[in-house]
Amino acid sequence: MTWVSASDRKRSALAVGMLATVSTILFSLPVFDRFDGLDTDLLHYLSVTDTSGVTGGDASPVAVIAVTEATHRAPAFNHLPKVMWTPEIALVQEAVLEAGATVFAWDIVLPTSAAAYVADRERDKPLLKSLFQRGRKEGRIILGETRLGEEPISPHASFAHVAGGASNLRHLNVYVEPDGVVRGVPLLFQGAEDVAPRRLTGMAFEVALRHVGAELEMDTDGNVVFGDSRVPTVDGRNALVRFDTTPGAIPTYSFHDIYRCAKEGRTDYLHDAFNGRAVLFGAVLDVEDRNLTSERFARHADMAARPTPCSDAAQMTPTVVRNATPGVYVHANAVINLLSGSMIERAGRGVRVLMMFLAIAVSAFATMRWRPHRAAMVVGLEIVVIGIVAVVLFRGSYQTPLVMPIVAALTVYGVVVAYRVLIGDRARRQLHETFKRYLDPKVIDTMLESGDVPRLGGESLELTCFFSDIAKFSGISERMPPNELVRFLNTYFQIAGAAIEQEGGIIERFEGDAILAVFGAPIRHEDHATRAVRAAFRMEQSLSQADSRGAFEIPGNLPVLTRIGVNSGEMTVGNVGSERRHSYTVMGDAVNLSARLEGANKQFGTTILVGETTRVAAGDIFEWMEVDRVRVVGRAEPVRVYTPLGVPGEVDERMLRWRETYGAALEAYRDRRFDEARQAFESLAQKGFEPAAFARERCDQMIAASPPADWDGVTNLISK
Amino acid sequence: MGLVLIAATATNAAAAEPAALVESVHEDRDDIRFLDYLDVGTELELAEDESVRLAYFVSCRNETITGGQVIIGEHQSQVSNGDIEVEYVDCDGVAVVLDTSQSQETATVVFRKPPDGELPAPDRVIYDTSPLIKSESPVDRIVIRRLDQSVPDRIVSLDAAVVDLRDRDIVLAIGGLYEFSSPSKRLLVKVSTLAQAGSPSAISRLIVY
Repeated sequence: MTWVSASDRKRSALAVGMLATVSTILFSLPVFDRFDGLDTDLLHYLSVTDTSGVTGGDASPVAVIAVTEATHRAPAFNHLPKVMWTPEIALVQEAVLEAGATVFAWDIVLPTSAAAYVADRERDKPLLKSLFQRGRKEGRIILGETRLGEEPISPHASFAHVAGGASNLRHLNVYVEPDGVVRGVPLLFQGAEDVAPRRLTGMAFEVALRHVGAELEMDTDGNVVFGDSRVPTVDGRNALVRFDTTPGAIPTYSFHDIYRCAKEGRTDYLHDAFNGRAVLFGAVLDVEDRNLTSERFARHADMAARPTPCSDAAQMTPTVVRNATPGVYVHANAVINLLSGSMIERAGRGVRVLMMFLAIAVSAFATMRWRPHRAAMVVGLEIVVIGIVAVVLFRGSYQTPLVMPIVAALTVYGVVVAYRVLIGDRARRQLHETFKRYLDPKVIDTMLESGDVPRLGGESLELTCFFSDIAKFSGISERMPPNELVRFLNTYFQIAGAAIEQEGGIIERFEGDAILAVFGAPIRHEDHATRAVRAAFRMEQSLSQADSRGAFEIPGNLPVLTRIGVNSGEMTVGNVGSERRHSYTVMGDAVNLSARLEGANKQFGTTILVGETTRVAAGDIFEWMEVDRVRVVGRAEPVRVYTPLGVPGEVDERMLRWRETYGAALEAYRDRRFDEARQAFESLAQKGFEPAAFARERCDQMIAASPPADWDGVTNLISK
Repeated sequence: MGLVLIAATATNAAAAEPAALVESVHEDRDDIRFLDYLDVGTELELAEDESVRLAYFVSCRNETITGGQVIIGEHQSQVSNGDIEVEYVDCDGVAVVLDTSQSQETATVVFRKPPDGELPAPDRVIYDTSPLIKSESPVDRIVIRRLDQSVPDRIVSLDAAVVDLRDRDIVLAIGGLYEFSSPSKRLLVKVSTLAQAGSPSAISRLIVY
């Protein structure tokens, strides 16, 4: 987790794993299987392909003859109760079967006869003859019946009887999922008594069997086999229909058009339309027989892209787009599914759990790893991938979970983000609040993402402290009115601060004309000592350049010189202050020493003084000159102090020679050869090498009053 | 070939639900034919060697009757002086047990008959018992069938632009509903209960076919 320390990464990985596992178990509970239906519907919608230019399903093995609203308006049927249409139905049925249709299946139930309605004993006879010959004798007619309550709604006994009875009578009930949406058909019904399984086939399955002339087959596990393949089912009996949502995929003819066609003897048209096809006789009406099905989102107008009608008089305008599908298409699509082996198979429990786990794990990882807006993009991308995978597989009639993995991924995202906002990111916000005065927010984020963050409660670290002050600031301030002094200081701090920040240091505080900066915290830089020395050089250079171009506007053209003390060592850092006001503070003996070294510059005539620990830590990146060994106020232990001369190769030879001379003189001084030392220091001082002037004075003091026998050669600095 | 008596028992078509169907009959008979509906009470007389096969709707009983007198019942025939062979067939659908997912919806449409007594609305109402038929073109054969009662059909041909059925001694019943049908057209005509024979008004009895 980025809002906690790097040491928590393993714990974070464990948290991701646990969250993913627990969430997977939760979201894979069977109670969520009810969303499978919604998945089916959405996948139908998402699988809709470009339908521009579609003109009808020439390759469809199934055709539909539908009673339409136009049928009711046609002269032959207008005002005539449908129970009296039996001669016309017989004519169409005969013509279609004569044209080569494999089977004529009724998705319309005629529970009464015309003879029971009007005193016309002859009216039904054409239909009775057709049912007798084509149904009972040839087995090419299947009548439909249905049952919603206790009593079935069956064809009139005369029709059922002459058509062959139960062998040519099939149920038209459909498979409804708990949300009330029709998504399939029963392949086999459960018999109330012991009858041959073939008698229990649903209408669509029976049509498919007759179309190919096959017998009912079941494997040893009781699964229905069609062709050479097991037909996937939900529960062993009900199969999910994959609707072909392409307009015109199932060629549909209006009943009155085919009636007229048959009456006019247009056998060529009828042959082209129905030869070799299974024909379903149903209704595509505005009100009756419409079901909310899996294609409820992938809607298109009824009769859209239908085949060219037989008669110009049968031209129809497609109806408005509806959510509900005419029932005949449920059976028609089911037949096509069976014939093409494209019944929907839903993924098993194992695949579902695996997909759920992956979706949740990705979401959990992204949300815990990155900030919410970035994680949201990852989760969004994940959702797109889930959708694409589901659609691709669905086009092969294999349904994988869609809604629940997305819901789970979003839920996990929401939970983790909430956790971060309420709990986890509290530490993150605290860091931002603490360091916003010191660091660019992006730097804080980088620090957080690296996992290497400071402990605000306090920690002891090896750091380098940087202390600077303006030389002769009192003289400068006396010459300037307050407003100009403030402007001067602001300019000075802007330039000086930039030098520090460019090297990765933070300014812990401004104090008068002084700057206290820290290197190595809160951003971990192993080369904090080098950076601090480099910052000192950079500051000097920047101030000098600014001064040259008159940026400071000091009356009397006093130069702006800064004195810098740098020291490395173990320091304590952390948030110090009251609850309302606190700051990131560095404390410790090493800090004090840096301040002392800054002040010592005044005596040694140097501008940068570096403690021994900094010299050692920075190594030979710079050319150094040992200035002295000093004992500062409040610190018993002496410390060697150095001044950096520059980067090797860039320091001029004269300075290097002076360093040699100074070093040798310092050696002589410590060896009590004060005259020798003084002579050498004097020569350097006369050349303008200021540290040598102070050394010469110390030599004079030693010559004037010989030091005691236990003198250790250390210079005691008496001022802070 | 025996004597056949068909009892025209029905007075109201809607109440006359046929009970049986002729599934096999000697083709020489002209009183009953293959796939004729038979009403309860219909009597048949068969010659000694003549057979008829009947199918009863309610009982799913098939009867092959040879010789004798036959009276059509509701569930079976009453046969005198003849032989009868009976078999029961699976004429209904198979009884199934529907689970919850199968019993809520069906994808079908049912063509039910209108309520009893509610006959089809006529295309034309006439006020004379013998209509005047006008046609733009000749029609070889128009079957005039009464729909509210079972009476023999009448056949007419339209060989002139206007045919007066009064001239052909065709008289329709007052209050009757008739279907005038030819292969190309069908027309439902109601004879008003106020109709009278011999109306002088042509418009009151004109049918444009």
